[in-house]
Amino acid sequence: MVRFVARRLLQAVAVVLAAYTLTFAVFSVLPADPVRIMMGPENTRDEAQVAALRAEYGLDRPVAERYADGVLGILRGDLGTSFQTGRDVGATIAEAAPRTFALAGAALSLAIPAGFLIAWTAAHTRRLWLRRLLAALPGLSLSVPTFWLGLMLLQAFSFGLPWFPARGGLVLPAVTLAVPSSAFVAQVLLERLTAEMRQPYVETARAKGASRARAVTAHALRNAAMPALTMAALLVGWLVSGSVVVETVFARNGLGRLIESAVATRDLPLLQGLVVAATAAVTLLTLTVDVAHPLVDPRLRERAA
Amino acid sequence: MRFARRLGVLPSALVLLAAAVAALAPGLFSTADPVRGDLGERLLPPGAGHLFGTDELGRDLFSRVVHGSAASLQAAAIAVGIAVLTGAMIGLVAGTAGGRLDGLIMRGVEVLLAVPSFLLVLVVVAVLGPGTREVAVGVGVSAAAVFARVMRAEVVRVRGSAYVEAAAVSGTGRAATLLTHVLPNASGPLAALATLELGNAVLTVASLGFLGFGALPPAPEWGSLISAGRPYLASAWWLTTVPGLVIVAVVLAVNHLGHVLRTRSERR
Repeated sequence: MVRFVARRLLQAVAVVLAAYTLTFAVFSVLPADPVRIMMGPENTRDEAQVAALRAEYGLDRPVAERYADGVLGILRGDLGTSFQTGRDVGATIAEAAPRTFALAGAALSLAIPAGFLIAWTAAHTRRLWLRRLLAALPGLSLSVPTFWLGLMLLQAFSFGLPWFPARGGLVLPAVTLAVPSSAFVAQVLLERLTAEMRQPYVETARAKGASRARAVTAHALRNAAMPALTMAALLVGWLVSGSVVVETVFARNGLGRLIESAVATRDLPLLQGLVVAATAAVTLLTLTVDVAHPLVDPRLRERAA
Repeated sequence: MRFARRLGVLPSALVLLAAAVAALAPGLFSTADPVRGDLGERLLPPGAGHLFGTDELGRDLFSRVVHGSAASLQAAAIAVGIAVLTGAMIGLVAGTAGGRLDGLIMRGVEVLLAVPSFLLVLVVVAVLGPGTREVAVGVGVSAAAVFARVMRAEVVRVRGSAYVEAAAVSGTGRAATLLTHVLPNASGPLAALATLELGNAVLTVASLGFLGFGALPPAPEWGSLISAGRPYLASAWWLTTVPGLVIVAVVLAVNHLGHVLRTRSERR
């Protein structure tokens, strides 16, 4: 078990470093030079100024040296310095993170129960129309642009009915982010549940007198939940993109806004730090699920050992 | 269920057809100027004269949505084209080469999949700058990894089948086997995935347009149209609501056709 975890941890570090390498390659090896990218083509006619800025950011050093520095920095937890503010990228991210975590946490605490409820009801109901409706719901919600959903909620519940503030509140942004997240949870879970319901053990349970609801809850759901949990990393990746538009719609400062402004001001070190941090979060979550999986499912324990 | 699916195919196809015609020949739908408006007709609600209403400069919103479909759909289609071509190429090389090269390529693909795809798009847009084409490249690059994975799986699956062995035994060259046996068999799942990805691409392109990284004003694009309507959320609801509904209709139609294609390719 310890060796399994250690090996997975090493793999995770390798993935994060590879993500750094990817952005480094995109930013540095391509003809585009970070200083020129940041200033835009119209402002880079003054070669002396460009050279001065390059020297200031340490971009005049050889590519290999900068790359080695970056990798060593990441291993120490140092993500570099922002072009725009001159502040430490790690500190900037840490400062913005709590507000996004609050938003994502609120969204997930709505989305996960809602997703479970939709999938559970669709799996055990006998009413065909209800099952079809619930099964179609995730696909419908995932076809709606998230930023537009946020604007529609603002229009209805902030301007139309003055229930929630247009700025500063947590309810509307959390609901906006929760709708597609719950659709995601429901979709994955329902797919697994439908497959599990066809298994012989469900029939056995029914034959022994378990109700349909009990067959779903006590038998199928237990087997469906863990495979569904392996999709959690995808959900987090999704929350990252969702937070960019939701925080923009509701004027909330957080990681999403930070990502958006890093792109708008072409602050490449900040964007690079955000990519590395997001990849690290997704990879760590995948790792946690992989490690927890054998603990929950005895069938996998031998394979992991 | 199968009947319900078939029932949905026709409206979905019609929605897509309308959107495609709007993109290729916007003049067929609307003769109003999408860029220049009549200041005397500012912020009119949807009605007989202006089907979708007018914006703050008196421009006809229906015409702007119709003309915007070119930018939105073009970007999404180019993105999927890039994703399919590069992804299929990478997957084909990895699947046919096998061994160490395969391992190396698929590790790279895994890294691409580990980075949240929206961030990947934004990285590309940050480097290339804003614009419809730039957004298309970003969305295409970020989606390529999924196609590489599917293509490789298909190649490996088809390679092990009896008819490919038979082709090899009867003296068909490697390249010919790829073209005549492997590719046609892999195309079904790839086409289904491409259709589903097209819906995603429309959504991502709209999100980037909304964030201001897409088409440059005054050119209309669905996402930037919604963004432009934001200041009038309380007074002119149609400016944000209507273009959003158009996006939803198109994405629903594309996704529906994608699901039908996927079910069909799985049934085979």
